[in-house]
Amino acid sequence: MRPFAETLVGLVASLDPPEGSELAVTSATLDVPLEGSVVEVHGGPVFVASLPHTRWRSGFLPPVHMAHVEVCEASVEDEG
Amino acid sequence: MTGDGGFLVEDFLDAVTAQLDRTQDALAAKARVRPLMFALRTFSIDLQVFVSMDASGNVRLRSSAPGEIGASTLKIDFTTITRPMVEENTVSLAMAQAPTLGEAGLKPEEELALRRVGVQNVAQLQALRASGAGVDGISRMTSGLVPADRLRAALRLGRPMVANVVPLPAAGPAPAPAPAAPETPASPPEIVHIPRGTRLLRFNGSNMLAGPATPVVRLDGRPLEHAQAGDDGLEVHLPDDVRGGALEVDFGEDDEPVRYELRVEHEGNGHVADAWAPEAAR
Repeated sequence: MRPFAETLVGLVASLDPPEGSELAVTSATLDVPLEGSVVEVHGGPVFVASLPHTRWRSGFLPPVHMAHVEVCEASVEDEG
Repeated sequence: MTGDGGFLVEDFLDAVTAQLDRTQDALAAKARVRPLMFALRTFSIDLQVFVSMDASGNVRLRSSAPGEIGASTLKIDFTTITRPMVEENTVSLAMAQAPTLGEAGLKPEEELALRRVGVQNVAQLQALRASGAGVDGISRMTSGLVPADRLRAALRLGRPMVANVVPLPAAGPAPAPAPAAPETPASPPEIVHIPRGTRLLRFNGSNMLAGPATPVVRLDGRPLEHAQAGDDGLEVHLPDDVRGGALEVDFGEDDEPVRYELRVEHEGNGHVADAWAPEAAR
C-alpha cells in the first residue's frame, strides 16, 4: 500500500477533464472505499491507503474503510 | 508503538492529518503549473480499528488486520477552517511555552492524571487554579492521584522568577545585575542602574510566561511596551525621557509584583560628565 496522500492526489488528478474539452470541474464529491491502515514507517506512524484490490471478500485482504472526499476550486487566498 | 501494533490516539490521528497536509501541499504545487487549483474541502473516513488501553492508562488504536472481526468503527471528519478559527482553537504561544509538569517536579503518573483533566503544563495548572478550582479542587479532579501538596510544590517550582535586570544594548560598562527578586514585599526594592540613553531593558529569569497572562512591566505605573517575551527573559522598551522611577513586573498572579527602583547613571561612574574637566578625570 502507498501513503494515503499519493492515493488522494491521484484521485483528485483523475477529475481533470480531457485536454481541449473546454470543460472545467469546479468541485467534486467522492465516496470511495479504501484499504488502509496506520503502520509504523521509520519509527513513526504513517497512514497508508489504496483503492481496494477487488470487490470480492477474500479474507486475507485488508478491511475496507469508506472515505468521503470533497474537493473544490480553491480561491487565491486559500493558496497561502 | 506497542507490541500489538497500537498507536496513541494523537499519533494515530497525526498520521492521517499528515497525509491530508501532504495532499494539500501537492495540490497547491500542481496549481503553479495548471490553471485550475483544487483544494480539499472536507474529508471523512470510517476506520476499522481496535481500541485498547495500555498499562499507563493511555488509549491506543490499531488498524484492523485482514480477516479480523469485531473491530470498532472510528468515524473521523476533517474540514477546512479559517485562520481566526485556528487561533480560537489553539493554545496561545505563551501558554504552550510554559514549563512542563515534569519540569515542575511531577511524576509521570501525576502528569498523566493532570493531562486527563486537560492540564498539560504549569501555565494551564495556574489558569485552572485561578479559575476558582483551587489546588484542593484540582487534586479532587484527579481522584486524589496528585495530592494538593504536590500541586502546590509544582506551582511553586513553576512560578515566574526574575534573576536579574540588565540594560540592552550595554552602553559603556554594564551595571552589576541586580540580585533575585525579594521574597517579601515589605523589603525595599532592589536598585537597577542603567546607563543614560538605554532604550531596552531585559529581565532575565525563568518561567517568565508561566503565569496566566504575559507579564506587564510598569515604570512609575506606566506600562512599558514589550520588545520580546520568552520564558527565559522579557525585554521592554524604555521611554526616551526615562529618568528612573519605580519599576515593577506584574505576573498577573495573586502575588505582589516584583519591584525595583530604576536609576539612570551618568557616564557610567555615577557623575554627570563635565565637558570642561581634564581628559584624565573624565
